Order: sequence, then C-alpha cells, then structure tokens
Amino acid sequence: MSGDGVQALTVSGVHKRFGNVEALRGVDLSVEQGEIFGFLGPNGAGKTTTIRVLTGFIRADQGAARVLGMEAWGETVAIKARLGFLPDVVAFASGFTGQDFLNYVASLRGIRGRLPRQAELLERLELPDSALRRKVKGYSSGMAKKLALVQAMQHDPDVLIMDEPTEALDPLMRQELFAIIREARDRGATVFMSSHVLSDVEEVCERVALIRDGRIVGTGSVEALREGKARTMEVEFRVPPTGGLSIPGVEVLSQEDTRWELAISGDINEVLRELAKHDIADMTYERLSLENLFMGFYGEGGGKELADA
Amino acid sequence: MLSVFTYTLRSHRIGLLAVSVGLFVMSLIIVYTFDAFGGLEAFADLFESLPAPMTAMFRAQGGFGTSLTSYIALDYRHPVYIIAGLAFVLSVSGGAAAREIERGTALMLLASPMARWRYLAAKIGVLVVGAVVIVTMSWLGSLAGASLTGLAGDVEGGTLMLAQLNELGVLLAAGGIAVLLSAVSSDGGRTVSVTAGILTVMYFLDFVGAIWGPAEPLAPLSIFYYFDPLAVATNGTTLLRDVVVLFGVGLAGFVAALVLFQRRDITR
Repeated sequence: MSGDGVQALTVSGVHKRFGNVEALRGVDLSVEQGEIFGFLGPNGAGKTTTIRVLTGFIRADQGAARVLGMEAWGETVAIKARLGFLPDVVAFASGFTGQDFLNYVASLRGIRGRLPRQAELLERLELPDSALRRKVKGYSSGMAKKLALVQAMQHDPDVLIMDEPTEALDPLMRQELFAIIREARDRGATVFMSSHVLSDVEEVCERVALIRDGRIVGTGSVEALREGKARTMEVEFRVPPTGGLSIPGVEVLSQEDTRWELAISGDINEVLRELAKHDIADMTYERLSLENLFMGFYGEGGGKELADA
Repeated sequence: MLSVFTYTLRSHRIGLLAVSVGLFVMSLIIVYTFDAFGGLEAFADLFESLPAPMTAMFRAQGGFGTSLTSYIALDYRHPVYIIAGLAFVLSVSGGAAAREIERGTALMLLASPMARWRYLAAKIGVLVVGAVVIVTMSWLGSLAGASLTGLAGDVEGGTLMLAQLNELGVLLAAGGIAVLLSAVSSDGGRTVSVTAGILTVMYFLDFVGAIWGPAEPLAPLSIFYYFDPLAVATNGTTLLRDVVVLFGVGLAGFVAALVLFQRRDITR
C-alpha cells in the first residue's frame, strides 16, 4: 500500500435498516490515502448501501462514515468537491449527447468547457468524438459505462469511489481502466471499488474487504484472505478408492460415481503424492472462487481481521 | 444551480411550448368567436338555461357577468385550461426528483458538490417560470383575440391579468403538492398518478361543494375553491384571499419538498 497511514475513508459500526431488511449490521472499514481498496461481496451483501453511505446518498442509522476526515452525511458537499463517483446504475437523462453530458456534469462542478484530462480519458477508453456526438440513449452498456467512468475521473478527484467499475467492459478495457486507476493512485488519489469479480479486485487492489449479509467478514490483502482457505479439486478416478480418501488437509465435498470433489487446505505436494497411489483419469485444480472464499469466512461464523500480507 | 435550471428548462421546452401556444390559441379563439355565438345577450340566455352543475363548474351560479371581460375570465375556468396547465406542472414535478431517482439518472448529477436542495430548487424554478409563461400566454391570447376582432376597447387587460394571477396560484399550489410528493418518492409514475388523483379529488370536492349543501364545508379543502376568475372580473372581493391561500400552499409545498429532499435517502 502506498498510503502514509492517513485515513481517506473510515466506516465505524455503521448500521442501516430499510423497513424489515437490515442492510448493514455494524460495518467497519478503513482505507488509507493513496490506497486502491477493493470491496467484495455477492449481490445484496451491502456493497452499494455502504458506498451510498460514504457518498452521502444514505444516512446511517448508527455509526459514522467519514471521507477525507469529513462526515459523510453532514459534510457531503465539501466531500463531493473532491470526489469522483461511479454508481452501480449507469443511466442518463434523455436528450443528452455524450459530450453534452460530460459538459453538464463538469458545469455542476463549476467547470466550463472540455477538461484536458477528459480528452485523455476518452482516448484511452476509446470513446471517439463521433460517439460523443451521438445521443446517449443509443449507447451500448459498455459505452455508457465508459462515459460514466470519464465523468467520474475527468476532474482528477482525490477520492474515487466506484461501484462495479468493470461491469460491461471488455477485457482490454478492463486492463486500461486498471492502468488508469493505478496512475490515479500514483498521483495520490484513493480508490475504493466494489466488485463481485475476485479476479478484478485481485489484479488491481492492494487490500480488500469482504462483506456478506451486511457484515464485514474479512479484510486484508487478497493473499491474506486466502490463507488457510480451501481450493477445490475435481478428480476423475478410473477406479474409485474403495475405502475412501484419508489425506491430511483434504475433505471430500461430493462423490458421484468416479468423480469426486475435494476441498484442499493442506500441502498440495502431500495431496498429489497420496492421489498418485490411485488410478486417475482426469483432474482439475481450481483457483479459489469468490464463493468458496465467502463460504470459508461464513463458515467461521463472522468477521475476521487479517494482517496485511 | 443555473446549469440544472437551464438543462431542465431545455428538456421541458417542447411541452411548455405546446401548452402555452395551445392556450394562447384557445384564448384567442374564445374571444374571436364571441360575436359569432351572439354576444353577451346570447351567452346570458345560455347560462340561464344551463343546469346548476354546469354553471357550478364555471363558478357562474350567479350569472356570468355583463361584460366581455367577465366572459373571458369565466372561460379561464374551462377544464382545458386547468388540465393543460396541470399537465405541464405534473410533468416537471414528477421528473424533478422521483423519476430521476427511479431511473438512476440522478446519481451522477447529485454526486456533484451541490446541496441537494439546490438541485431541486432549480427544478422548482423551471416549474414556476413555466407556469408564468403559460398564464402569460393565455392572457396574451385573450388580448390578441380582442385586438383581432376590434373589441380591444371592451376588454380590461389588467382585470384579466389578475384573473390569470389566480390561475397561476392554482398551478403553483398544484406544483407544491406535486413536488412535495416527488421529493419523497422514488417512483416517478406513482408520484404523477397520486398527484393527479389528489387533484382530481380536490376538483370534485370543489364542484360537489358548490352544488350540494352537505358537501359545502369540505370545498375549502380544495385548491380549486380558491380559483374564481369570474369573481376577479366581476367584483374581485376574494382575489387577495385566494392568491394568499394558493401561493401559500405552493410555497409550503416547495419548502417542505426542499427540506425533505435534502434529508431523504437516495436508495435506487
């Protein structure tokens, strides 16, 4: 992490209830200045609610949220002067061309005309002038996402909060976005991005937090989160072991005829040596999926603070 | 704030143009065809022959007056004037907050360093300006009609302006109710429907109150009770009360909307 210990974002004991639904149940987070922080969780876990608390769209029932030392709800105007925001829902009012929209958003910040940074972002995200002259109503979801990303970053914000920024982007554009995010971090900006795609967060974020059912179930580096968590292995036996498998650090998750699914949490070399004693037709060993990661934390029954790797 | 005002006005310009030009033409035609229907005497006879509910709709139970001015003022209570003006008000107010939240278009805009109430205030500004344009165009249509038919000398332009001030009050009162509902909702369609329902109930409350004694005490609960352009043209006695009530309802609605919009959660 590149921060010097100054907190850019803090969320302390935040609760939020919508009717009978308790969306956040005591969320605690802190993100240092100059850090790229990932916020992971399945749909409905509380990612967007947390982000909207931080951006002053939602008022917490309990607890406190601060951005750059300012209170997220009460000082939201001052915060937004230094904030770039990409919402989960990218929608534009009708009648705008792409360029009209960017100019309109800039004008709400008191900026007239086209920003130099805007031109660079448009070029890198491959939104040509011909696209900007078109009505946004006809944009594909990928183009709409790119335009929304440009509006969030064109004023070089100190804090960039993005809800699912890679959704609808193709792999090349994702890589370009990650490069832009890293450059923003290098300039001293703090980036907070939510995602439900582990690989995206893994690639660009320095630290992550996992949220599930409105609770933070783990924070730390991706590697730290993975420590001690099982990977999955599917093994197709020609002749299944008659007496079952008894290998340290291996748990049989399912068993269908000759196809077995194993959870591997021990030393992989030891596992392979033991498996080699059987007649195997095929085998796959998967990276830890986000779902399994969550299951690991969920199974432990609550939040866990991990040291940075 | 000026950007939001300019953009919102631009996005409603077609609707505003259609309503204001339409009411201009209607006002013009009403005067232009006055003689063709037989003038004052013929209209006096017609109104005397109408059943009470019909005259109540125009607030003309005591006759429609004895001048061209009162005849024109009477027509300002025609349902077409009311519906056209309210259509614009509902269109602006429904989109002022609820529809934008529903569609998600408000999020990127409200992420700018501007207090939420200022954003909504700009939208209210468009509603007010639009309402002023609509009543001004109606008034100008009446004057243009009088000029075209050579009756300009028979029309009291100042009195008709006061009658349109009364109509402006109705539009602003309805706007206050509509913006208030929009400010607390995240469903534009439902906001417009509920507001239209409330205004319809108010309209009939006023109407029924005028023709059925037991309902009379309820009529003052309707904003339309305070809309009596004919009275403005004939004696003007209730204009101050009506304008104070209607502008007061509008102002109260706008202020409440600004306060609540500033404090609410944006959840969609």
